[in-house]
Amino acid sequence: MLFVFAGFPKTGLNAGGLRHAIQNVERIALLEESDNVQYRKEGVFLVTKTGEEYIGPVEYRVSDLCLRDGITWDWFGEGWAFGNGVTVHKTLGSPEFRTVVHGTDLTLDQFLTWYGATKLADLELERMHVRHEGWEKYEARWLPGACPQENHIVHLTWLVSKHRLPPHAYRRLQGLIEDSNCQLKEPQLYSRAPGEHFSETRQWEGARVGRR
Amino acid sequence: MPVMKQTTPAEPEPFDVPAIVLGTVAAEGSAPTAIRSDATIVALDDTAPVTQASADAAAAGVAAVAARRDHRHGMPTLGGGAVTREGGVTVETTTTSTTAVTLLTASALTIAVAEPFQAFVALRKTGGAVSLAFVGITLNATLIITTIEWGSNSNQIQQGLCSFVSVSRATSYLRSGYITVSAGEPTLAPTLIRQDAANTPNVQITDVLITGRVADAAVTMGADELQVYVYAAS
Repeated sequence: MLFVFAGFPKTGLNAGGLRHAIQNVERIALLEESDNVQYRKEGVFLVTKTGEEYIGPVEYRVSDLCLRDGITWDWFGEGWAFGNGVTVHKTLGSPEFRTVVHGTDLTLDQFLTWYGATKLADLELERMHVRHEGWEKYEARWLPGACPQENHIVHLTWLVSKHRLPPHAYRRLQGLIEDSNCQLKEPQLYSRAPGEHFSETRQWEGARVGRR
Repeated sequence: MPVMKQTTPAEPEPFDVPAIVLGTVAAEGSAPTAIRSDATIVALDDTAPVTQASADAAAAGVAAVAARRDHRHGMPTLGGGAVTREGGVTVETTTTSTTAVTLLTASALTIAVAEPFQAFVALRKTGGAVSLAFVGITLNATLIITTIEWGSNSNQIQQGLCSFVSVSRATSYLRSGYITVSAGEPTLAPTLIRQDAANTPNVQITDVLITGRVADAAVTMGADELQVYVYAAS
């Protein structure tokens, strides 16, 4: 079963660290780690070197925090691969803005081309969100009104377990990933080697993803 | 000649404890008593400010006392939603998946058919088992290059790079991209892979997806710093 949670693990664990917590330290669940099982948006597939076979539909649960942020199952596009095991994912969304002359969709250069010499004091410039096809498509993945209209990162953590989970196991997983006050049990059992079980958290400056 | 009549001020009533109330409108008051110049008025109290909650609405408040200059509100513990907005915190993407998984995505792009573009991503894998790690590229919903090996089949930490280049898309030239992978190991030569899985979509590119997987779930693969550069078309 596929479980999708909001954000990266607030405990600082990376996918390997979360796997260690789930299977070795706290024994919360048994993860699906078969070399051939792949969860996709379209269903669960058996993938081999000679081909692939559809096994059945995906049984999933998207956390309440995801839903609060406007991320539902429809957020994941066609061909989206969840794989198996544990994954910490991120998507970068960057609206495009253009400086235009107020009341038009013309840049200053275009305005001058059309209207000739103009006193700058008579012009008012504004920042316009260019709602191009890529943005429209991306925004449609979100619940109405939920898509951030600024540079942003969507962090998600998902995992594929072999079985459904009882409520207490699900709550513990939710705590490990979504609760910034959650404490790891037996923290001495985690490796502090860089990148082994923990990922470095850093400040994101919000630079554009696609640059021209 | 008019006679000036001198009036004497009325005798003040005895002093009293000030009962001045802070308000939003000035008022004359009605008490006949006076206050001394060194009297104390109640402008402050000892009630602590509230702890704000996320999405609290602004409110003027009703308490008839002023706030102290050094007062401090309680702040909620931020739970951290799925979305990190500009200037927030971030981490790398990681996976233990043994089948291809969508690791990192640049969405809401607008790469026109005529525009060449290039995508870079940094890669790493941990030790933990003798295992390969793989990377692939999907454009929009089309898998362009299936997951290919980027490191060695070894139990060691490795770091590398994946770069994908596509020329302007034109009919009959839709497999004109390639991927370069390289691991920071002196014994490993960089690998150039042709675009083997499918044609590049002959439409505007809106999503660049980096897929990855490991051969053994005891190994963690990381990917970060995805950058997409679009070249100007002549």
